[in-house]
Amino acid sequence: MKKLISALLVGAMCVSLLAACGGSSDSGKSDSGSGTQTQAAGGDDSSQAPAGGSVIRLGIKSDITSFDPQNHNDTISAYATRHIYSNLVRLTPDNTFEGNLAESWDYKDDTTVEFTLKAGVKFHNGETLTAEDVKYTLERLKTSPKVPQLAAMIDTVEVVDDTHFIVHMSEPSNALISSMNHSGAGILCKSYMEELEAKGETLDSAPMGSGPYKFKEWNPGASFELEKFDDYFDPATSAQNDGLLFKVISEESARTIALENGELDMSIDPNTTDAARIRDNANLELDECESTLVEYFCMNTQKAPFDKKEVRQAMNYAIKKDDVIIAAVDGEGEPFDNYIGKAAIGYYDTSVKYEYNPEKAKELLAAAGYADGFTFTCYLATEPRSRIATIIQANLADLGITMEIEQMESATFFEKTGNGDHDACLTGWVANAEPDNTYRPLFTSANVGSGGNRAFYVNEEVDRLVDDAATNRDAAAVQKDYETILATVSEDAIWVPIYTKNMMVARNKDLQGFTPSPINMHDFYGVHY
Amino acid sequence: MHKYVIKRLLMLIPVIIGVSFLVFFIMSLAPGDTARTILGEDAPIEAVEALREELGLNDPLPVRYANYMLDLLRGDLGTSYKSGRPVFGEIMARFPATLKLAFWGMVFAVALSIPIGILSATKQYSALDSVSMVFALLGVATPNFWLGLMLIIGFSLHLGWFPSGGAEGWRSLVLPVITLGTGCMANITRTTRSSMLEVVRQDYIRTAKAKGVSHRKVINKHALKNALIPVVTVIGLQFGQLLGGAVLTEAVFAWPGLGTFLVNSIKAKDTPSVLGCVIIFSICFSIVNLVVDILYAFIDPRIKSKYK
Repeated sequence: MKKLISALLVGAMCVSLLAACGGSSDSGKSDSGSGTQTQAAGGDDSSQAPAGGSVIRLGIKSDITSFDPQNHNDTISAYATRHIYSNLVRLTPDNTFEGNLAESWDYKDDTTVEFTLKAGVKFHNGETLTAEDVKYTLERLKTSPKVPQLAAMIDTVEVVDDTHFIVHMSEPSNALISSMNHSGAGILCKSYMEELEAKGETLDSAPMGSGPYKFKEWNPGASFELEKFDDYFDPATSAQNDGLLFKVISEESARTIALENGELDMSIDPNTTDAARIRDNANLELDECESTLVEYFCMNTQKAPFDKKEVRQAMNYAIKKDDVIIAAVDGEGEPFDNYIGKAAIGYYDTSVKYEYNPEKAKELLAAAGYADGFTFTCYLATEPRSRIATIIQANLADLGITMEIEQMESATFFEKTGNGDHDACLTGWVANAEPDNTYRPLFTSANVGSGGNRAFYVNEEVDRLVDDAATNRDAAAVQKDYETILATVSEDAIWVPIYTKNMMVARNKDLQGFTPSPINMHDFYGVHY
Repeated sequence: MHKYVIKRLLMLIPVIIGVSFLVFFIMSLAPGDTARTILGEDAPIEAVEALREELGLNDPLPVRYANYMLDLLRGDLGTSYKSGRPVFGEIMARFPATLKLAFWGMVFAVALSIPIGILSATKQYSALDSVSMVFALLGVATPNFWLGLMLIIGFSLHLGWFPSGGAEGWRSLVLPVITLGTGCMANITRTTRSSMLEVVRQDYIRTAKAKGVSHRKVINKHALKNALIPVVTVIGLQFGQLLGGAVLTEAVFAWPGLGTFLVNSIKAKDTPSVLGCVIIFSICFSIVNLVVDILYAFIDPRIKSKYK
């Protein structure tokens, strides 16, 4: 027995040692070459720090994929990279683009744009940002594994002098400026990158840019921390706090509790189940704004019975969206009848409206030859879509339609709906700052299937309008194109748009200076107590 | 004994080959496009195809497996499809946290379950026995994530004794350890009780009592040691399960362990990361089983003689 106890104690010592080594190796990894201070984040004191600390603690649902802006395409990683690196342009709250690193830009012709950089911008290592750094970044972006589309329209970048460069595009594109605002287009320091490559290291071990925050530490799976960069070039967007500590708390309820408990200052994207509780809490505030999300029921327009427009329109009349919203998002949504989120650039209110009207639905079904209903299968992947499906199933049963629900893992869902195996599916779309990134994948024939057009919708006129909107320099013509597309696809009823939902961020009520972003690209530099 | 240990360690080689073969092919047979999953629904087709080519996903399956095994022979667990970082580094950044949680979860479970199991057995059908068995049943039946949330609400939100999550200091370890250890504790308590009940009915225990040996000495010296063999077996199996099965506890308490990483890797069809995790878990499971077998020898000298 004594030997058993001894063995257990020795085991305990080994585990403690291993755990200690693990911790220090994380710190070491984060520190290497970054030239920034590294120390263990938190400790007991950190988790119990009173509200009002100058390092803002934010709860996020998952860890970052990468600190290299060109090696990820996810929102969480962008929280880090948007604050570490600076972009040429930035999106304002009223959905227009203004210069950030770029002082100005000028279209010489449809495919040539000359940029002027602000002078004296410093990287975190003290080097001055020049046009050579921009050229290096954009050329690297073209071959990036995750976001090459951002620079797909760029042919060459010509450096004129330290603050001037010309982008030559291979074809006219309106997406150039919006792409330069994407987190993937954060400007890298050429000499620093070459230095890293020579050492066999990557930006994940030592990210460095010219943004308002410097990298401080990353504990994989647990947290990452950024600290204020004092020599940041733009006083208007400089950090109003000492730093940002992002804590990974994947369980949504636990994230809300951590906020209520004072362990967090902000919780990004809280669960709709917790929204009422947060509003009722006198110490908390729930910031909301319109989003670019659309949740929709998508029909395969190349398979019977959804190859008939009348059937698709009947589905639009048959679904009671208010009930879906209660079941899916606890009433925290708004019935929606458009194909692009309200807050998105490229949203116009020209879609056909279909009010809930089961009698009208029955008439349309009868006209299409389906008076006795039919049976079909609806594919779906993640929550809350199984709850949405249950309500739709009940609505359609009233019309004699049997909807069989097949829930699957996301990767399987994308493959099956990409191959066109589905009769219908439940999915959603969050538009980013470039409308072409929404209209093209969702509605063009070139993107049928895995490209994003899961309705398998083919309409040559829509294809032409999307191409025109992407290249036409006349803003009025572009608007007309998008308005026509929305009217056309909604008349063809390729989906049933169901609801949209506000973007939510919960915070300590004493925290100021935060404005939520409709496209989930929140900036936290202005947040302070 | 040494020969036995070396033989068992060498057995790890076929275990790793078998596990990697199974996982690699199951992952490959599962539907879903890795490149599309990584890049997201809004990525253009050209970008998806370029990434598929870069990751070597267009190569035939046997070629991909052979390449993986050649790298593994050199000690290289490959590069994560999702992050582009070496899998070994990704795992080692998280494995200590998982090991720490599993170990202290097991210490918590063993420290409580063995005394309770012994008391239940020696006082069979008493109120104490009934109460402990009811709690054991509840412990087995209670879902981890629910217990975790209840503990957070009680001890973190209302009492403020412990942080609700994270891995910062010993106080953040308390609630996840209780959550993770409770299910194990219940299992070990039940095994200890039934094993003890069997042993205390043996003739040699009756003889010892007839000789006038004190009750405490009969239990501690004669009964417990013989009753421990099945208990140690259960502890070994449970520890293996704790290593791989702490996913929900890690999610609820924001514990930066390997479980969450493994689940996310499976979702992303990140085969090298999944394989790396499964190989590490297999090695740990095999080692824990080996330790259990060695412990048998210390507990029961008759078994030790068989190892020679």
